[in-house]
Amino acid sequence: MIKLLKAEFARCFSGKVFWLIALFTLVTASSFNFIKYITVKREHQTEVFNDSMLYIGLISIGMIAAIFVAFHAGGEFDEGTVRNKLIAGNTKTGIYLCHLAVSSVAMIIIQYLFFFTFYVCSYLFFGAFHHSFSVMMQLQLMGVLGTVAVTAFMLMITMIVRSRTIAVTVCMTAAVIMFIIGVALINELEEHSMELMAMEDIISPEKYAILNKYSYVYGVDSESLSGTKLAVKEVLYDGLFICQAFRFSSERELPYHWEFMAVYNIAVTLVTTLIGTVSFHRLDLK
Amino acid sequence: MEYIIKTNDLKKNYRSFKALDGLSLNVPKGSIYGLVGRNGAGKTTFFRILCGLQEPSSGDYEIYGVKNNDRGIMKSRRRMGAVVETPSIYLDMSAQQNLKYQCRMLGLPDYSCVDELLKLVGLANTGKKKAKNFSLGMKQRLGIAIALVGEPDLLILDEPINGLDPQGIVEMRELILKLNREKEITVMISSHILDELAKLATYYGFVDHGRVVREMSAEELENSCRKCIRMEVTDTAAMARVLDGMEVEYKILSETTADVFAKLNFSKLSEALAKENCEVISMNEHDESLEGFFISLVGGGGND
Repeated sequence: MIKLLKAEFARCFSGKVFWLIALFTLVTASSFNFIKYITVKREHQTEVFNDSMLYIGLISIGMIAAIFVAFHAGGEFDEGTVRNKLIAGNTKTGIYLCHLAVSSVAMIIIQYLFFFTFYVCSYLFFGAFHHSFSVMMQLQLMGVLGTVAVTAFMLMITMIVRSRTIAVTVCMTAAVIMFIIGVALINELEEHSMELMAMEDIISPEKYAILNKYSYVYGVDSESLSGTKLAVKEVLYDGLFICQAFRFSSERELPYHWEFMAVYNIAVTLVTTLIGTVSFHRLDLK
Repeated sequence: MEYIIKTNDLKKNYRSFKALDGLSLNVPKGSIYGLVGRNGAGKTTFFRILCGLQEPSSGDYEIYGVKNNDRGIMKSRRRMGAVVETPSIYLDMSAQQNLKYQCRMLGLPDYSCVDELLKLVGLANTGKKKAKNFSLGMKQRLGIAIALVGEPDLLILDEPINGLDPQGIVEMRELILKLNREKEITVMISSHILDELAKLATYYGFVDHGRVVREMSAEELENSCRKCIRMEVTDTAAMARVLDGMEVEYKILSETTADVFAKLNFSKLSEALAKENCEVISMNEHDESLEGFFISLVGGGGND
């Protein structure tokens, strides 16, 4: 499997797809700053809060992973190259895990490329950030777990559908759906949180303190959201990577329940990889 | 005889469809084994199973004496190269990059074989041209070059001359013969172009409805297909007596028809037959081709 890993890393970093995505990331990260710079100059703003933009890379990683994984791993089936790997003595599980490793590393590089490009550009244009660098790095590290989870999810789809075109379509659709669900969930729970803010006399002081510090407190019913419905939404709030990324951008420190986020990300990675490897092992390949 | 591949009652079902229905065959070492069968007979399914792309529903197979459910099967597979249906190549890479990738994957210490293989398959001058811009024949040849990385002892080729122009077919034939003779690579090949297969194969396996209906060497096939004079007479018993007297090889097909496998003086034969009160009704040269033999073996019905 080591030989296959070496060959796959070489293919990944000599291929067009990775470098096009890297170029896109570089351009996007720097152009956000440039646009912001023009706006700041035009509107004569004195204080710039650019920290939240640092996490756009994480918010968009689902879309990027969908494209990368579908092209890198999905192409194997269109071009029939998976045959060579099996004949070379690799197992289907080995091939799957190898794709997961290569795709994850590629996506983590893209994640950090966005972060550092944005950081450097923003620093040059606007000076220091409000977040401390160590918090940024902690959030990016949390983001790594999420990036791997999203990549594992996209790979599961790709390896089961076994076609680049179908994989791109399905993965992109999944990424868009997750984005919509994430945004809707954040909005709904923010409203729920606002409702709770107005209930100072009902909520316990400890919970109110948490709400004050972190902008959200778990397990407190409001008139609009309560019971199982609230519990499910709170699990998704912690579990969906898109929600995590939005929350990273709005907090100045590690978000409340960050441990849950890490556990959910690891669980998503393990479960999708297990489903993916078992399904791929059983599939009749051509 | 040493066999490189042995299969035993191999079955593969796709839901209710039986792609392989008890396929049993043996591929002798050093041979060019031609797998002959119509579309849907199970040839490609068999190759896919050999390559590890699919698992058989039941039955087993051996590659170099290692059974498919043994751990060592992965090692045995490393000794083979294959081009099944379409060549397995990265289209956004050049021929050289494709071969280097294969070298890396097999853990070869260097890329010294790359240029040699490109030369062998006639792709030495393709430079940085991407495989997606290759002609079908070039892609086929690149597929074979990739299959040859790591010096395999066994080469599996599924319809390697499909879509090739006449010159490409000749070049492919010469390449396969060269690999078999000079590098002593056992080749298992399927093709619909039976006349072309007849120029290559030293062994044949005739497949129909997922089963091997007959296995035979090229010599046996030649004997079955050799030229003869098919004679229609009034009494083959009388004819047999005459031909026995002349010490000529023959085969009685019916009460009135017989095949004679020798050059004869037909005036003398007619005379001798007349003495036995046997009349010659007709005679013509009969030459059964591989195609004819195959059709006579599996029947002339349409493809499934």
